[in-house]
Amino acid sequence: MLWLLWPVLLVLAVFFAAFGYFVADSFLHQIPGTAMMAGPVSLENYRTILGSVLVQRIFVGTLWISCKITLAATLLGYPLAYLLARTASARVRQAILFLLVVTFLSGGITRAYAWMILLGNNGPINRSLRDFGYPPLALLNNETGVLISLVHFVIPFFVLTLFGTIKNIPMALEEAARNLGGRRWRAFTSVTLPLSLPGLVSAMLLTFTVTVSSFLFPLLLGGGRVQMAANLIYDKMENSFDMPVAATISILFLLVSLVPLSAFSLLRMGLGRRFGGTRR
Amino acid sequence: MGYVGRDDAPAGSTRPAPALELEGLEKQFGTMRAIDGVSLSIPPSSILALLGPSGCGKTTILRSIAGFVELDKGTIKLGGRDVTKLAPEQRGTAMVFQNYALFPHMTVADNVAFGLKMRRIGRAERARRVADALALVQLGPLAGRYPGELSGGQQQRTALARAVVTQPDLLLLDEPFGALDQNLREALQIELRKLQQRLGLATVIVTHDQQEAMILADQVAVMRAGTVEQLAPPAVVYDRPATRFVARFMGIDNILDGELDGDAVRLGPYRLSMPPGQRGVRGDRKATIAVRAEAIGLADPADGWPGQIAYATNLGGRVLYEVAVEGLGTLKVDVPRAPGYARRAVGEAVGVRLDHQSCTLLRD
Repeated sequence: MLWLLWPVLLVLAVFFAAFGYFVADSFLHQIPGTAMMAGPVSLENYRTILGSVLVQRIFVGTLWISCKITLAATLLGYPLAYLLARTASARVRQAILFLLVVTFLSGGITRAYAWMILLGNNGPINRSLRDFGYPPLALLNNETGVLISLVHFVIPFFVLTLFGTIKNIPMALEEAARNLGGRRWRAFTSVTLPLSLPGLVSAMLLTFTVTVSSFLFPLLLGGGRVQMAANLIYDKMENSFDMPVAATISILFLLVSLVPLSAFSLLRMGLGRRFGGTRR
Repeated sequence: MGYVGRDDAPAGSTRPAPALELEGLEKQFGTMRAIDGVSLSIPPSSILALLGPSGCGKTTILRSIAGFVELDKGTIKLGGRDVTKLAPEQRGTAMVFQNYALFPHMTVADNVAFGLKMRRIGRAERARRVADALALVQLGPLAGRYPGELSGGQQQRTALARAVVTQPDLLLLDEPFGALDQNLREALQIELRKLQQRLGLATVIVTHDQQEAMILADQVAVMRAGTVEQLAPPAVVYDRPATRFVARFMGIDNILDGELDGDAVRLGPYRLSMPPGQRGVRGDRKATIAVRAEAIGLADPADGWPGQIAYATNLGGRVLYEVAVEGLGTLKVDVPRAPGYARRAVGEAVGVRLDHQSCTLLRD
């Protein structure tokens, strides 16, 4: 049966070979005025990039935006996932699922343009504000627009990941907590919330991962003012044709983003041991 | 008892209020009438069993007492206090759930302490009462374990300790033995009965197992399609089922249709005189009689209603015969088998004798 693995191994081999080339490129340098690379092999790129205040700011900014998005997705997504898992009405559940899946499946570009129309100076939001005599809000071509569109983008990932965990927590546990004298909120905080932590951390991990690598929304809704790591890499590759620097930034950002990601993963493993193993 | 107020019990009443009173409960789910006019009451310190097949509404009644089901009609009183509109956490009932619903992320001790914590009982008293409750169900040494590390019986006892530690007005048990194997079940049932008597705790238990109801209950309410078919002490339900449904549910094999004939019932060519209290229950001339297989004896053909052995099944300590009785049909007869007992052969001619004291005239 092991031969079934061959196609997968082949794909992985190509992927890692390409990645290996990319890593190797980072030790070369661009031949000025061309898209070509040449030796000698050195750590010059790493020294330059690590010293660049601009790159540092973009790295920190990217992580910070990802934190904000993850927090917003948690605050908006947890209640939605809870409602989805606990509602007695099949119609409500189907409606929420439908909206999530439609959001999930509609392409990034479609959604980005939809948000550009909605958030623009002459979009429906600002037009109604003006109609009621309020000053328009700057929602587009800044970080606000990027945040709004990114939260919308990650919500389905978040909710669909968490939903299953909450659904698997028997309703009887919350009922038991209330039967023993706990108000609705206490029953939630002392039973459902702790038992949903493994799923919550998974959902946050996924949200963070998706956000940290976002490219399209900052590009289209940031108006050039919001550069995230992927945009910087793209810029180096497609505008400066500087493949070695693009490779260096990629590798460095991969290493940087591995820190919060592995922290999440460790937390997830710890929670799994605590709450997963003892469940009946 | 900090939390549970009995202040609004009727003042000056001479008798203590019933532990539980249900009046005219009704609940409809979609097109199904889950509870269809149920009124019941339980005296203090006694156990009521809601007995019936699945879908008869017994669990819905239990859940409505706990406050998890909103009723369409009716009132629920606990110790004279109307709790119909109260939230679950304000009712002062304690429930043992069907699969125990133990909190998997808390130790046995924390599970038991939960209700006390919600009632804001101080740390020292909490620890003392948890220890007492765990000692009561012999789980003291397992206080630090998690539910996933316990056997089914230990989980059940943890759930019981968690419920009784709050000193509830009413204990609710939802099929508490359903997940346990048969050997363990009977021992734990007897243990529970003793515990309940020691604590004097009014209890409602939901079960589909008639033997469990026999062992545990002071009163049994046999339920069918959202209504109470018969409410009586277990021995009465067992010996004198009121209806065909109850008789069948209590495992009575022989249900015979005949006609009233004075103080007797005519069954085909035979006449059976009925004991006092078992005469003419129904308005029409028809009569239906229930007889347990154990209440029928086998004798010589001349000594009873003549019949023939149609089938014999060995049940260990007993033999179950199917006897074709002339002019009547097949009766099931259950005969104890002492050592050296010679089983009757299929085709053997016998006389069937009914103990008329054990015959019950049914309502339908």
